[in-house]
Amino acid sequence: MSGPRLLWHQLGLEQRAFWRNPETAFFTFALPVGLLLIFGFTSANDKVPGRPELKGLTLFVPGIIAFGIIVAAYGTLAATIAMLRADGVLKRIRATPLPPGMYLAGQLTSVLVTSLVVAVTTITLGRLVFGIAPRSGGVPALLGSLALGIVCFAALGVAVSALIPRPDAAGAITNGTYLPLALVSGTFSSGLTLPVWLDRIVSAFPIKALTDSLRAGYDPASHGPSAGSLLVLAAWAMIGIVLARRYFRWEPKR
Amino acid sequence: MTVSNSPILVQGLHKDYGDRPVLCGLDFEVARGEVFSLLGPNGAGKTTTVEILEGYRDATAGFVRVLGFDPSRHPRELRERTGVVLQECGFPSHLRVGELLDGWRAYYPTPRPLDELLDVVELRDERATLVRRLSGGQRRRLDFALALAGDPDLIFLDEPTTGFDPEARRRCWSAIENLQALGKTVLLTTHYLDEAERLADRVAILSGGTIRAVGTVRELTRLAHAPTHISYRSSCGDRVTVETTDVETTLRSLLDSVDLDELDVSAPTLEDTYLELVTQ
Repeated sequence: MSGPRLLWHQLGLEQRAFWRNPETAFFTFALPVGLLLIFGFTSANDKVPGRPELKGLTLFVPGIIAFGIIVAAYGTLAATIAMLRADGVLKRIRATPLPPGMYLAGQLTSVLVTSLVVAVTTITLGRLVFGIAPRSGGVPALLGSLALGIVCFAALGVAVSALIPRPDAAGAITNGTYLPLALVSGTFSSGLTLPVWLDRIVSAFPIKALTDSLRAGYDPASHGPSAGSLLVLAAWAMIGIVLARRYFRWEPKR
Repeated sequence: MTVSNSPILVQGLHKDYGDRPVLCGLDFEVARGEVFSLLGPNGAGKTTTVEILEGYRDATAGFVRVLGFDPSRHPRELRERTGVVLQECGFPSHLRVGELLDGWRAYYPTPRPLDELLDVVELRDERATLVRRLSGGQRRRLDFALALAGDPDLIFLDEPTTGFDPEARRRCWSAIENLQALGKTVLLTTHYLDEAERLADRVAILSGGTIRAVGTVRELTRLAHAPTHISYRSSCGDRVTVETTDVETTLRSLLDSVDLDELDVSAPTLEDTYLELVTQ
C-alpha cells in the first residue's frame, strides 16, 4: 500500500475506534459541546465586565474551542497512548511491517480530525444557536490559532503519555495539569483579573496563549492574536516535539 | 561468519538485564519447515530469547540472524515475512474482529484471505463482534489470526496455550500442526512437556540461561540414561517394580520365571530427561 493510502487506512481505523469508545467520545465531544449549551442558555445576556458593549458569550465560544482542542489533542491523546502502550497494542504494532512513523501519523491525523470536528461544531453551534460569529476578518486568525494549538497540544499529549505509569493514572495526570491552568487562564470566564505576578506565570503557559489567540478571532476590538501568544504556543510546540521524540516508548517500563 | 540458509541462526547469544545475566551463550539453528521448541521452566530465558529474535530486545553479545536479517535493525522485509504471537497482548478493543484482521492484512504485501484466517482460528461467526466482547479463548485465537494475517514464512509462538482448557489446547495444537503441514517454520516456547513432545520436530531444553540439550524428542529421551520401569503383581499379591536399561533381556528372564499379572512397562520419557537437566 502506498503512503497516502496507508495513512487513510490508519485514519479510518483510529476514527472508528475513537467514536465507538463511549469514554473518549463523551469527554472529547459531549463535554465541551455540553458546556457551551449550558452556559449559553443560562448566561446568554451577560456582558464582559468593564466592556458593556460585549456579550460574555463572544469570548466564551472561543474559550470552549480552546478547551475542546486541549481535551482532544492533549488529554485524550495522552490517555489513549498510555492505554495502548499498557495493553501491548503498540508492541503488537511493532511486529507488523507498518512503519512506526506511519502508525503515529495515523494517530496524530486522527487527533487533528477529532479536534476539527469539535472546533467546527462549537463554531457552528455558537453561530446558529447563540448568534455568536467570528469578527469580520477574524477567520484567518481563528484558523491559524486552531492549527498551531492542535500541533502544540498534540505534541505535549504524546510527551506527557510517557509520564503516565499506568492507564488508570492517565485521568489524574492529564486533568490535573490542564484543568487548574484552564481555570486561571480564564478559558471559561471572560472577565478574570489576576494579580500581576500570577498573570505573568499563567501567560507563559500555552492554555492562556491558545485561549487569547482564539479570542482574537472573535473580539471585535482585536486586530489579531498577539505575537507573544503565538510565540508561547510555538515554543511549547517545540518543547512538546522534543520531549515526545525523546521519551516516546512502545512498551511499558519493566 | 557462518553462511547459512536456516531461518533462524543463533550463535553465542548473551543477554544481561543490568548486572544480571539471563542468557549465557546460546547456540542453535532452526531449519526451514521445522517446528522448533524452546522448552524450559519459567524464568529460564525463553521469552527473552524470542524477543531478541523478534527485534524487541537487543542482544548484549552474540550473532543472531532471522531469515537472513539482523532483527535488532527492525527491517521491514523481515516483519513482512514473520508472524508473532506474544504473551498477554491487548487489541484495539473497539474494532470488530473482521475490521481488525482487515486492518492488519493491509500491512502485508501478500496477505491471507480474510475468510481463510477466520476459518483457521474458528472465528467465522465472530467476524462482526467487537474485540472487547470476545472471551479469553477467542482473544487468544484472534492473536493467532493476526500473526497469520501476512501469510508469514516464520511464526513465533510464545507460550501459545498457557491458561487454555484441554479442548482449547488441542485445537491450538491442530492449528500449529496445520502450519507445519503448510511448510512454515515455527519457533514455539512452552513449559509444557506434552506440548513440545506432540508438536516439535526438535526441542532445545533451556534452563538457567543456557541450552542443556538439543535434539528430537527421541534423542533427548535417550540422553538421560533413565531406566525403563517394569512392574507387575506377583503371585503373593504384592506389586513389584524392576528398573532396567535392557528391557528385552529383563522381560525375557522375567517371563521365564514368574507370572506377570497386570504387567506395566513404562519407557523413559522426555520428562525424565527434562527433570534431570533442569534440576542439575
